[in-house]
Amino acid sequence: MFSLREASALAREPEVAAAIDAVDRYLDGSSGPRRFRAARNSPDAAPEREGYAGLARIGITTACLPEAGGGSGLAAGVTALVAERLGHRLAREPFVENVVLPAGLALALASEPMMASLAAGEIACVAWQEGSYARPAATAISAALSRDGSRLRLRGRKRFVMGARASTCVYVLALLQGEPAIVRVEGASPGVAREDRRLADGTCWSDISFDVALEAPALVARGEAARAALGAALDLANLALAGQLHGLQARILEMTLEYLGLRVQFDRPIGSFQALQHRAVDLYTHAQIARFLVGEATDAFVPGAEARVLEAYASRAKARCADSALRIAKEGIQMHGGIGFSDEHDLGLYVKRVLVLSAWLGNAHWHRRRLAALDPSAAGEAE
Amino acid sequence: MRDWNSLPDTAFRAELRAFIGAHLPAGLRDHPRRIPRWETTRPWYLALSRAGLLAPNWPAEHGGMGLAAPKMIIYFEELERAGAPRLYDMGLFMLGPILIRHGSEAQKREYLPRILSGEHRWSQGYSEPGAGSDLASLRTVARQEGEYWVLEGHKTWTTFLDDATHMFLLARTRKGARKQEGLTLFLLGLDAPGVRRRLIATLAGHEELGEVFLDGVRVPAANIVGPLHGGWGAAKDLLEFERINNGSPKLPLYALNQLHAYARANGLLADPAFSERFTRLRLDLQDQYCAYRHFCNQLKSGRTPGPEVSLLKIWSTETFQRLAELFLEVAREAGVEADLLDEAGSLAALRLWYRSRPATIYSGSSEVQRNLLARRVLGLPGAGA
Repeated sequence: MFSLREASALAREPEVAAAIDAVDRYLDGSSGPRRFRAARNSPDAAPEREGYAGLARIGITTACLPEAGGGSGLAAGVTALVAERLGHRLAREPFVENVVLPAGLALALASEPMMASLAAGEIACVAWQEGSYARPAATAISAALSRDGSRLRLRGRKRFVMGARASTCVYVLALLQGEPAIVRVEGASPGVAREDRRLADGTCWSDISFDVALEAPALVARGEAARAALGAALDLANLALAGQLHGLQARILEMTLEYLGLRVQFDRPIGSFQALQHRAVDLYTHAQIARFLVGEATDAFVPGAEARVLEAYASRAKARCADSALRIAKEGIQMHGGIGFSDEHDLGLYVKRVLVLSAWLGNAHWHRRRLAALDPSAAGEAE
Repeated sequence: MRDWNSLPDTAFRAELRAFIGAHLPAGLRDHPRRIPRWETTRPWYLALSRAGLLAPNWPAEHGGMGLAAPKMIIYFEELERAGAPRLYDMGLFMLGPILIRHGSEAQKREYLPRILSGEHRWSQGYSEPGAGSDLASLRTVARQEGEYWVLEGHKTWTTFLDDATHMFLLARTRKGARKQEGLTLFLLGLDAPGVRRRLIATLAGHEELGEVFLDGVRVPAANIVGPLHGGWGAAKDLLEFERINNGSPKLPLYALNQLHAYARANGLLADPAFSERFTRLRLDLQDQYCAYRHFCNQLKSGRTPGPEVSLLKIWSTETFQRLAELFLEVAREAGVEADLLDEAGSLAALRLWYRSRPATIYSGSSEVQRNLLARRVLGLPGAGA
């Protein structure tokens, strides 16, 4: 009823369909909620590393990398379709943070060394925020790169770095002679200090302080190219997050509808009460509007697409899905009653995942503000 | 016959825009009435008809444009953009599709060309004083007398009644086990002896609604559409077309364009509180397009959208109302002055507010649509369960 596959033309391409099937088969092997619960507040990165290895085994970590670079060459939109499946099954796999963001950055930069390292199975993350989410163009960057003979020195502090704990290298945004630059830093370098911060859903992101010396080849990109590529990677990541949020909201709604049919009060299933039926319909409607939008946005992420179109689709999809998933999550709690507020029921695991993913990389309010400033005709709207 | 679908979207849009620019009279743009009278819109209706642009949804063999979904969206966008008036379109969007699907060859030959020529202007006879949301409890009856059926009953809330020449209506032809059984769909000329109409003024003061009294009205058996006693199926089919059409983004798009123009002219876009609400509504509309395209594509690929299409109507009409409400709010005192309500070019806030109210009532109220989605799509238990 909520499948993204039926709402996307890309999902009907045989190789894409095969990739999604592979994800489903992989997830069939274990219970998402049980694994998610067991891995909550894990003291180390074992759950993420295990999840990353699982995705690598079925070729998902390299799905979007070009075939020449060891990937499958699928359109970038496939990330939203994969993320939807992961959301629906409450998978703990570190997909957006350790696959979509670094691969999106490598693709946007067309950086062969970066693609090669990702194709070789290196776990990477992107560290660029220093405060609350903003576009790279508008971010005040205080992390600084300075020349030190033939080497570079990186000094600064990055925040909200999702996926840092499992990563062996970090791509960092910093200023070099007044312009933005992206450098590659080995996670285990002396002078890299990571402070993990626990999140509502039991995962974590990290604040990282850098005071490290880098060799010249660590400079991956600089100037407008670096800024534009990071922007494109963030757009793709937000599309994937929208897909994942849709998967989560679809599952919460399925659980809630099932509960409405089973729970008997006043000698009737509570789902027979019109007050609850109409509220359930409104949740269904929000989920469907989100689904058709994400499907269309997914299909837009093809090679050669205009950046301004993708920007608008990414922000629309994230704003819509963050809003609708939060709405469905809180109504899901209410309709489940007492058990909905208990930590024993799996519903809460989904709800907390929604809380975290809707806030990460710009919440609905932020993306709507951005859309208010964008050209309204960019995503196919009439003047 | 033009193959519109083979044109690139931009060329199609440009051609429509040029046509509208050349043929839509200035006095008809942003017309203050929800539905201007037939004599007012007739030249524009006929201009569209002569150019083969009147029936975007009909197949080409019947004189329509046979547009695929993306082109259909462009079609409505361009009309809304130009502020084109609502036409006497009940034949185009309601009866036409049902005749094409369920009508006899003779009925198609007789009626479809006369819809295109404007000779026949159709109204819909479904609602009755005791049968609104509960349509199937309607009490108008038809009894057989040889080759004729004789109608007795009372229809109401009939739109377009001021200038309609015909009505398609549901009447009970047999007592069935369920109240949906034994209903038949009839075509009726409103000049038939025994038909009396009375117009009803709306909140906006326009007599565009009415009621029809049927007192021994004789209708030939050839005017039955679809199977005898099987009118509910045909009517429901009609409602599905109606729901897609009612779920089209054109009403909220028109309201958004009007509000946007007002906001720009009055410096409201720089107000963060306004901008937040306006952007939310703009996105509600923009995202509705994705769902609308999906259902249109389904229809075009030969699959009749199921009951889930009701979500479009709910979303579209409620977005329309929220836009109109925001407009009235920001228009403040000027919003409630009624002197210029019917003047072209006057503040549209109150007009749109009035216009948006019936949208959640007609063609199945929002509440009925929600009941339907709850039972037929979500599978929630009935009240008696």
